[in-house]
Amino acid sequence: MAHTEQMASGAIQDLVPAADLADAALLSVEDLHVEFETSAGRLRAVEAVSFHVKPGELVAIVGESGSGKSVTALSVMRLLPKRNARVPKGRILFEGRNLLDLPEDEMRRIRGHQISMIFQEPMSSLNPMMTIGYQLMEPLIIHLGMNGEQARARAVELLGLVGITNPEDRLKQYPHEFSGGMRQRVMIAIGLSCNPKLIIADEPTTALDVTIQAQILELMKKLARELNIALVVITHNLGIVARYAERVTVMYAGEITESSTAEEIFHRPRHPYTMGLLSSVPRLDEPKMRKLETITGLPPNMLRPPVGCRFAERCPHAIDLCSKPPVLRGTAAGGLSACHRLDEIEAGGLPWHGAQHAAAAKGVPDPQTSDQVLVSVEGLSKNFGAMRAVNDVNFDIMKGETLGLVGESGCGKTTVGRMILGLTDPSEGAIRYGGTDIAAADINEMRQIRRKLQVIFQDPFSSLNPRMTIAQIISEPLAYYRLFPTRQERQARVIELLEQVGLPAHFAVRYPHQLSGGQRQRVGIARALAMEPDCIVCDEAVSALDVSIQGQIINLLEDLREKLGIAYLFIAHDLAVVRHISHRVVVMYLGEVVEIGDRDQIFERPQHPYTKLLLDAVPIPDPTIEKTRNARIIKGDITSAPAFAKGCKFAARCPLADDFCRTRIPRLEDHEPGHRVACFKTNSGEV
Amino acid sequence: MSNVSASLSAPPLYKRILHAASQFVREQPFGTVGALVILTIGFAGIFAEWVAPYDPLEINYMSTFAPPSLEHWMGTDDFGRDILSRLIYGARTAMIISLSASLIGCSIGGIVGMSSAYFGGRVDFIIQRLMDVLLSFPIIVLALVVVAVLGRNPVFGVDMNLVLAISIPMIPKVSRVIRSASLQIAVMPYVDAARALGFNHRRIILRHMAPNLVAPFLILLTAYIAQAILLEAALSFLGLGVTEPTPAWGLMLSGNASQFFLTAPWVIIFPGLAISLSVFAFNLYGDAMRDWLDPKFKF
Amino acid sequence: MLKYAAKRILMMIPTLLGVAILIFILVRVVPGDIVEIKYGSATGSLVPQDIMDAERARLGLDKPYALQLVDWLWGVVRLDLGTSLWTEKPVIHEIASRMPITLETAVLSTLMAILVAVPLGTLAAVYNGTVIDQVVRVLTIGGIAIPSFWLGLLILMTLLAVFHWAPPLAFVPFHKDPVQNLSLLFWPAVSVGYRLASLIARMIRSSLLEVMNEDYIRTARAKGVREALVVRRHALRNALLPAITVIGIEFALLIGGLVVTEQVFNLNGVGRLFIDAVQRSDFMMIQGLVMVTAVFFMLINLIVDLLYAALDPRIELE
Repeated sequence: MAHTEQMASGAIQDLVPAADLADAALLSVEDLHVEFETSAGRLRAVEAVSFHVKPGELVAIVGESGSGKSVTALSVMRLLPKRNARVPKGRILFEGRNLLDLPEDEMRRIRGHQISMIFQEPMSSLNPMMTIGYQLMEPLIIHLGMNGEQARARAVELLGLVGITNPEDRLKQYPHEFSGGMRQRVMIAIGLSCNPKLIIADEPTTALDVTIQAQILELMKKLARELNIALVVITHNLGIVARYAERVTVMYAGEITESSTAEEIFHRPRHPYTMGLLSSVPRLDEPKMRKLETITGLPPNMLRPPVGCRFAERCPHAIDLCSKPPVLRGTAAGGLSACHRLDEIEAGGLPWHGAQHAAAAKGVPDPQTSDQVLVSVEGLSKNFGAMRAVNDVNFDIMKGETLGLVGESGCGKTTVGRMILGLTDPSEGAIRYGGTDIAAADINEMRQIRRKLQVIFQDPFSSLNPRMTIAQIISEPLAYYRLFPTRQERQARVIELLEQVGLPAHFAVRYPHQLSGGQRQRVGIARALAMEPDCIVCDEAVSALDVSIQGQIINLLEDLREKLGIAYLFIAHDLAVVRHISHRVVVMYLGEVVEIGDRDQIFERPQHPYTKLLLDAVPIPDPTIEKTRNARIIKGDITSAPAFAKGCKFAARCPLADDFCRTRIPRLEDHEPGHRVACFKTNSGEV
Repeated sequence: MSNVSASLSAPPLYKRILHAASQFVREQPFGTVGALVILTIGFAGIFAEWVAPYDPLEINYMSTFAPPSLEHWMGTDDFGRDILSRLIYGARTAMIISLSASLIGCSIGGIVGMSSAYFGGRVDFIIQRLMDVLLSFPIIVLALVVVAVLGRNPVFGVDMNLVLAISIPMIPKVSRVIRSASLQIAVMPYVDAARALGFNHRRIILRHMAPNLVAPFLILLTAYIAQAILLEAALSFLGLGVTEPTPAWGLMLSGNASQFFLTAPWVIIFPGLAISLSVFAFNLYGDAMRDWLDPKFKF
Repeated sequence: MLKYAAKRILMMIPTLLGVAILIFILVRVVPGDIVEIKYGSATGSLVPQDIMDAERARLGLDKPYALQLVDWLWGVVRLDLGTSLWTEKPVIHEIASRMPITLETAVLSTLMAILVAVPLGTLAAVYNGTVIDQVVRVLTIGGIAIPSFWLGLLILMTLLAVFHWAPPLAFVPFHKDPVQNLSLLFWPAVSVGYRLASLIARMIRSSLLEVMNEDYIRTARAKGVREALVVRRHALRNALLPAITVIGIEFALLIGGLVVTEQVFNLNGVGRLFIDAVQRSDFMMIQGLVMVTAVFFMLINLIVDLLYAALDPRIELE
């Protein structure tokens, strides 16, 4: 191990003109190592990581969970848990001073003053017992020595700066009175308060809806530019990177695999992992041409990382040499790459081939939708107390099709899914399965319907009973419905199902906590398949997974649909995934369907202003496109529309809305065959 | 690989228990110490006839209030009975009463709490109001009344009505904790998945909810064993619990024992130490088990 | 807030009714008769049956149970808990005369417990996993494990044997003679307070540990707030909230729960009254005591909830 470190750090010093960098750099992380003592052993979360940030620059650190990107950020702030984290090696130079050597008190004066940090969870990052005003004024008083009067004035100014109206009144409010997007604005205001030189944002928009995400990122970028603040964005979202970053560092399993300008990373990736990552994400701007070329396998166990290249076992180009640790080497474009075969890559010799490449190359047959209605939803409504969560929703799911159901959080899409599954009772309306009204079905009919309608949940960590083995989980319905009466038959079926979802048979005896997220999701799919369903409701089934794993699950779902003719109701907020997987798409806003159509109609000829703006808000993983595009942003958030609004619910946020829209309720009307839109302004051109 | 189907069942129970136990010993040294003390006390109680040096009931007026000596390690009491022997037999009394009381109290409380959570609505409301009534009764009064009403009903030398008196006050408290834990579990996606699979209520409760309540239940059980030891001691001290001549720790402190504490402090000190040590051990073990089973669970 | 409190007080009525009926039934199924105890017939002395019957009639014990129940409930509604069968004085007055000593012991021990527990629990959480934490853990588990009556006995023993000092015999109200008042109640309060302090300290430790893991604590640190201030201002306030519930409930339970301690220290409080009433089968007194402690328990619970809502901006009482 020590050998590796020496080689890696030695290489950096040789190849990167350190003196140049140190002069220009605001922050420079050099050969950083971070370890955690865990009950299972020493976890080397970050190894030999080096990067630098120049004043005013926008830098992104990209990686999947466990790649060490957040740990790196926290070590810059020296906010790692003191109990079990250790930095055995490395330097973090900020304006020439090594932060790791500073006494705690001096470091404290840098935090929130010179370097600020914005975290992922706006809902929990503000103290619920303190007013926004206090939390905003605190750094001003601590670092700038302001008195209460001055701090209050500055706080008002800051809230205005981040786009919060009525700042004087808002100062007296508590976090729970703010929406998620608003809280993140407050976090930005706190970050900006002392005019820092550097802001580190750790997944700042991951917990937010896509329209809010666009607002927040746009705001951060604008303010960083105006105030000449360097911004380090840590994210797993390649679209965000493409839209906002100038330089990108890619991390994998605690190490840097590649680092370069955004253009180089996206157009000429020089590490197989980067290539794989880029081809794993479905793109919103591309019509569906092919299966996703995903990265096979799982990231290494960080308690026992491989000695050689950590990506080798998932890399299609791995050769014998890859069992030796690679070093970061300079690329022709001035970046860095830690691949043994960099020269071949530079020569254009090693394009990414996923394992499924051969199969994928054949392409996917065009949507083969049948015109046979499987499930039909008629006038479905749901009230939770005084709130109308779902209002008069109508759509059909055809046999064998994938119907995408999209919308932001709070739009009622999950409630619709739960009502179809019979987990929540509708307040009004009916759900028919093969012509039978589910609410009116007797016990025997219901048993049949239950079998044919199945579900895959979002959270692979809580959707499997922790006290049951995988075999028990999958075989339980087989026994309950007497699909396979004998034990032997059931066991054979469990193995067959595991095989079908790409898991080895010996997983049957494991418990859910012994599996990774992607593997658990596969078990969830196997459990649903056990019933031989006609239709599976996938409720955000891939959104909790890492990019490379998400691609694998999407491909699995598509394979199963082709093989078994299952229909999916694919509930998701990720529009690119929905575009990739769906035949038809339903768009919901505040409990109502605003647009419904086939995939191309929705994604290429969207009619409803909400759909158009939603699509605009999604960043595309291509910096060239992103940097020429003028992001149009939906103002406000979902709470902007009063619940009692008389007219179109989107009117409050719609750029086209006029008094007519605010007083009349639009109905879904045919725009073209199969394409229905609920908007009065369908034909009034551009948004 | 040829034998895959045979290996599909999980490893046998005893292996899993052994594995869990060895893991517990490694990760929870404090809890292990607690468990060892409990085992020692339990062992002494079970094999009291062999372990105790004297007959606990044997009165010897020749050696009343003998101070601790080689002959009587913890001295003798006002009847000249050997205190150590009485403590060892008292361990049996304490263990039987506290184990059965907390088992009864926690089981009833657990069932009440789980059904309250599962059925919800009106049933939940009525059960909770009943629990409120029970909760606002002072524990001692409840115990007094039960003992007074039901009289004495000795089984294996232990008053089963006393057990009942100690277990009733546990019911409302246990039911609250189990109710809220059940409510949390009832909305877990795996319970939704079981509902979507069309399983009946019985299967969902027994197969999917109950096993996930085992951890909080065990934690409560341990905590209430400790509480039961204390409550039994308090009741016996007041003369409302175990009665003479049955050796019981609380009883050894009651009556005129306290009048002799200046002349014969050992009469007071050792029984109190026995109570404290055993309750301490149960708490140590319970704490460790909570950390180990479910760090998030609190009550 | 007022509306919520009024609603809660209304909700207490059915619960109290339940308590009133339950205790009425319970005391009547208990074997034993105050008249027999009064005339010592339990000990074998012979008193003519007609004298005992006349005494029963005088105390109203010969009336049908249904009528007695109606009388009792009607009395409860009018806040009249009847008269003691033993002293034949109003139950309310008897309880009221014993209440100060119990209440003061309870308040005193709770206050001492809080004063000790907050720093102790905080220390244990801040130095989680260190020797300090282990010491606090042992101390607090000890507090829960040691029976308070035994601790009381040990304290008395030490005071007598080592300091040759015994607490005063008579209770004097605090405002008349604070020194004598405190020297009587201080030691009982300590023996009860140790257990209470342990419970509260453990609660504070675990809830503070949980709060210290919250994202907003990381935010405070990232703002450059001093660690001591992070604990004191950002974490402790939030962590104390759940402790309020524990403190409230334990305090409420003390009113009926000081029985044993009062016995040990020979205090003439409500707990003693309880024991005496049970031993004398004084139905009216038992009923009255249970009602008073139940009301007390519910009121304290209500106050805890109101306090909680006042301190936590997220909670809005409807």
